[in-house]
Amino acid sequence: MANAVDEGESSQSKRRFGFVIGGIGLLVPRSLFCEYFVDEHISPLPNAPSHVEGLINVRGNIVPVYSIYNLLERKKTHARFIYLIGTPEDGAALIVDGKPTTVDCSNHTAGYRQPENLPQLLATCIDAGYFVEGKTWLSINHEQLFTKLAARIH
Amino acid sequence: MNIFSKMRITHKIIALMVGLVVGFIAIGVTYYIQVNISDAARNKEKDAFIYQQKLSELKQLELNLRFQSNEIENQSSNSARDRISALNAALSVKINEAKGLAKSSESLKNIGVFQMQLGEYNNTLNTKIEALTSIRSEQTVSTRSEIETAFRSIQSQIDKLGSINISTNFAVLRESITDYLNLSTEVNRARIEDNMAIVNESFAIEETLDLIPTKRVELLQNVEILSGRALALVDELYEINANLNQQQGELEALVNGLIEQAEAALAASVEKASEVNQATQAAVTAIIFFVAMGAAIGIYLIYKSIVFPMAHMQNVIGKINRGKTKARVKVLSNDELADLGIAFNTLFDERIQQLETQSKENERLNNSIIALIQALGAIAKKDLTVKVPVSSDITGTISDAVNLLTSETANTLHEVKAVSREVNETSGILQDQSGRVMQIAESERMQVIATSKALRVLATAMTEVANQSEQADKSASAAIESTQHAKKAVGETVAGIRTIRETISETEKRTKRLGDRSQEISGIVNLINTIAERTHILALNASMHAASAGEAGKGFAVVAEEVQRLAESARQSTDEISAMVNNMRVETSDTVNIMNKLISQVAEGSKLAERSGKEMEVTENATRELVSIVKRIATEAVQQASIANRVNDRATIIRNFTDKTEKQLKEQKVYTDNLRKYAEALVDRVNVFKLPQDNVASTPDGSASNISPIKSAV
Repeated sequence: MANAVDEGESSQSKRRFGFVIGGIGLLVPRSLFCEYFVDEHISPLPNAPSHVEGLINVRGNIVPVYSIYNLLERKKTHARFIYLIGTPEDGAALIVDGKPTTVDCSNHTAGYRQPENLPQLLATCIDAGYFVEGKTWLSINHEQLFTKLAARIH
Repeated sequence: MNIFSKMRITHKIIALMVGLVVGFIAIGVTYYIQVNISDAARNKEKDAFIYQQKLSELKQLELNLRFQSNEIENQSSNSARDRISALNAALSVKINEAKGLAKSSESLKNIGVFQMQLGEYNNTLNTKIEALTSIRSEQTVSTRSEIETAFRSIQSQIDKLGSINISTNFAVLRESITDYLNLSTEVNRARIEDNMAIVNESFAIEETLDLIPTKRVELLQNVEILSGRALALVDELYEINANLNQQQGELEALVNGLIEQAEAALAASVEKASEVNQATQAAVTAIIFFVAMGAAIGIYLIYKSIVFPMAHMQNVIGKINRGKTKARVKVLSNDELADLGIAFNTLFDERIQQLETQSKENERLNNSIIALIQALGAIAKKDLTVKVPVSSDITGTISDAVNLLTSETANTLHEVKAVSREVNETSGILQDQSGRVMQIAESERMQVIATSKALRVLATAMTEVANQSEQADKSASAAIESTQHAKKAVGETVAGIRTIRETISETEKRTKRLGDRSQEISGIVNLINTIAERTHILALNASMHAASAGEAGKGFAVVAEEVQRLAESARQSTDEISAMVNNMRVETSDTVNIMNKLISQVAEGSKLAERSGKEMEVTENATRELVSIVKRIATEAVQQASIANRVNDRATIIRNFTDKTEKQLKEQKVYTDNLRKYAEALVDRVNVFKLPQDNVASTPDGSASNISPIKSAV
């Protein structure tokens, strides 16, 4: 897994990559190596749990793809948008609602409220929350999330 | 020292720890020995002190015994015996205790001598008690009373002599004898002898004065006899007391000797214990000193072997930070810090080489990015002829993507230009065609108006046939002529309508073709949109990669974001083009529908015109028959008038349809003008881009790259 190196508490360091899964906005550090794919071919794994969508080939590297819509009790409408968090060698990918965006958390305003009935899987992986331009964004520890998702396979 | 420098730090620390453990064990053992020796010396000292204390108690008891022995004369025999027995029992206990505590054979021997001497002393005491018992017997008391009486008799005789001096001296002698009898001591006995001498001297003095010449010898003899008897009573006791005194002196000397011996032993024990304690303390101090010195030296050596290399490494790191990349750690030992120094050197070598490589790569990347930015700046000015230089680094893929985007966009814009050109030309033809149709329709309308007027005249004439039979021939001729004009006008109207129908049909075909072209444009625009979307995703991923590269990727992030904005701009432009094409398709569809409606109306008008022509022929025939059958004119004039009215009505209907046709043609002209405006706007939009000449040369008509907007022909 790629190391996320924060760049201090400058306004630049408060910019993060945001992506949405089932309407829930999630943030990862901007210094983290990420990649976004559309309509990438996903090879399904036989007898795999429902949250394991399959594997994708990223420049010769096999990357697992997780779909946490069921775990978040959200309805998945597609599997077109894939967001790779970390390098292809040691990262993992998630099915997301659409393109990732850059969220400037220095514009964070009061009004942040953690979403109700947030599943335990996600609640334990949240580092911080921001309320930016009327939307709630949750900063997640992606390594912890992927470790928990991998633990659910066994 | 050399071996120590070659040791590893772990081994040095282990050696130091082992040395410290051995030193602490030695300190502990020495301290344990010292404590044990101190305890033994303290116990010995304690035993010696207790032994001395017991001897002191023994001496105290011995003093009590001596006191009791001196007090025997003042006590009864039984009481004295009991007290002495109790003291002897206590003395026996103390002697046994002292024997138990005595350490030396000499002390035991002296205690044994003391015990034996004490036994003899007790025997003497018993003898004294028995002697006192004897002295206190009735016989002795009576003897003593008798001696007292005799002394009193002698005292009275001496008093009668009249010598005060002798009386006094004799009284003193008596008193001393009494004291001696009460206490048979040597002092009292000496006092008796002294007083006796005084009395004899007194008698001698008085005899020289011839005061008592006769009585002196007798009195002195009596005195000596009585004194001898009195002294005989207590001589045994006197001897016993003398023995007791001697034995008491011996006992005291023995006890004092034992005490001095015990004190000397105690002092010797204390001194020996002190010496041993000093020796062990010196040993402990020496061991602690050597352990501390060894530990300090070991720690100093380890400190030296750690701190000096660390300071040297810090110095080397400082030099490297100041730019002296040749500086390296000198490896002088064989320990972990030497390994660390070797690792530092290896790290420095690799890092410096890596930094140089990275610097070169960054420089090459910066050059590529600058070239890419310059090319993108030219593209941003709508110049699609610019080719972004493709390098072998990470910007190569972006350059490829940008080149692909510009070339695809240019191709698409060429196609759009071609289609727009066709649309423009078709719109011009359609506009011209609409103008001609308008002119024909205007002629038709004029013809219809004329026909209608002629029919009205015909009807009036036919109506007046009955009343103006005289002018029937003339009127019939005029009617024939008018009918012929009308027939001709109707024929021309039918031909005009047919021409309009064909023109509209051709226009409808071209409009449908225009709709098909618009659909092709939509497909191409969708393709452009897909390329723009993929370029946007590519730029998004490039932006994320640049952000993950940190400081080195900032310049690249700017380029990626610029490409992202360019792709977004292209996508918005394609959306606008798509919306415009859709509008064109809707307008074209409406135009086709209107044209279909117009064609049906024209067909209806054509049918009516043909029917009017047939009616004209009937009218002409009738008019022609009018000449031959003038007579029947009057009778059939009403019928003729009726027919004329009906023809007039038909003409009115034709005129109405002609008006409607004109109105529809005007609307069609408006749509055609709009279509032309849209085509011109599309051409204007496309002409904003500067396109490559090669692709322009391959256009169907080989015209110039930029299309000049066609001036309105209206």
